[in-house]
Amino acid sequence: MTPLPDGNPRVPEHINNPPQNALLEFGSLVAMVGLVMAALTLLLVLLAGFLAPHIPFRWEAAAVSDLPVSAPWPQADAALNQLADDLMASMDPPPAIPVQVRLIDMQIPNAFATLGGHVLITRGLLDSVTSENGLAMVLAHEIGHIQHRDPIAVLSRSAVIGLLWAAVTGGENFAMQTLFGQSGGLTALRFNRDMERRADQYALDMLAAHYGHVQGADEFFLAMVAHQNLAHQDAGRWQALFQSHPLTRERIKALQQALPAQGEAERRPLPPALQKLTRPEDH
Amino acid sequence: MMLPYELIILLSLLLLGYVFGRLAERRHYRSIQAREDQYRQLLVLAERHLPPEYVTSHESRLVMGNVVVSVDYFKMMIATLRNLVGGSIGAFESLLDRARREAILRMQEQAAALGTGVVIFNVKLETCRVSGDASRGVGSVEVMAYGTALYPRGNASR
Repeated sequence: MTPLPDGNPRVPEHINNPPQNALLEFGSLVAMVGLVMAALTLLLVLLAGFLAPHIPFRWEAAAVSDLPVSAPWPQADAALNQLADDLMASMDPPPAIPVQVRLIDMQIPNAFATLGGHVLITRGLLDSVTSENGLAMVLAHEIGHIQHRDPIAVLSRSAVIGLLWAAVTGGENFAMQTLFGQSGGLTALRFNRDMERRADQYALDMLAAHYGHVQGADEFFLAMVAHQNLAHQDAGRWQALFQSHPLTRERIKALQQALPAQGEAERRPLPPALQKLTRPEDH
Repeated sequence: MMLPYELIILLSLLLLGYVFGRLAERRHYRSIQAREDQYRQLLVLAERHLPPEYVTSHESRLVMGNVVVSVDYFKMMIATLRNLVGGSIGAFESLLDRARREAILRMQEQAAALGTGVVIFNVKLETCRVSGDASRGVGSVEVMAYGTALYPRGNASR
């Protein structure tokens, strides 16, 4: 055996612990991973947008057989469905996907198009329009979403994005999702606005086909802006709505440009069943 | 524009991890280097065979040093990102370098209690993850150093 050394050697620090700039490394890693994730997200969003409308509607309808909300006003529902059917019948050719409308007991004025061709209209929305034309615009807009297959496109998009995040972050990594999740949200919002614009255009065409003019198309949106101005102290309650239905002012502008300069054409009053809603019996 | 609160929490954690992790690392390295100088003469060898003259003149004893270190949030984030693209994780290299040297120093401290003229032979290192799981990155790591200390027969040992 060799003789023992005089002492332990001094460890050279740069071999096992090479000097490094951790912040620079972190920055470049975030940039690299962020770029790849953004590209993948965009690709998946585009793919979902292209493919989702080709999912047969009966598959979608079979998956969502009925709405899990009650129908407090059956007669009003019948009137709304009649209006929706009339609007659709005025198109040439009539739209392929059947639509079911339901009035729900919610005070916030809103309308949603969901899976399975369902359209939900809130009680508050009926209060914020003054004519059938104003209501028809909202209804036609939601019908447009359904004919464009927007609900399933949105669902498919969030599903594929969710899958991507789960695959990359291992499911429940809060930090990674927070770091990169923000950009995904912005992308989704932008595409939603495109859908809104397309549905607006569809609705204007439908109104023109049904009534021969588009007077009253901006009724609901004007009421929304009035609410927005009034409701600053009530902002929290309205915020979600304005975020999902953005650009209200921009849309009003676009709508008013579409309105003909021929003066006030006749607006129809709301159908009787929708004029006076009796409150559903409270239990 | 208001930042989403998740992002604020995340950035605070990152900053906290970076600042405190860096301070702790610097302080630890200074302490390690000072104590390594102190134990320069207390030999630590990986040699398995004992010199023949030691067999009659020395007694042996197991000595060991043990340390558990935790990853800070900043290092964990760097490692998580690094896991996606590959490459060496420098943040963990310095962490484990500190842990190994600290474990050896603690073993030397134990051996130093055996008196003068102590040599530690057959030194081995063991590493083990003690918290956190594979999907969430390394939580804490234990490093243990152990070896056979030979000390002169005359030393008073407890």
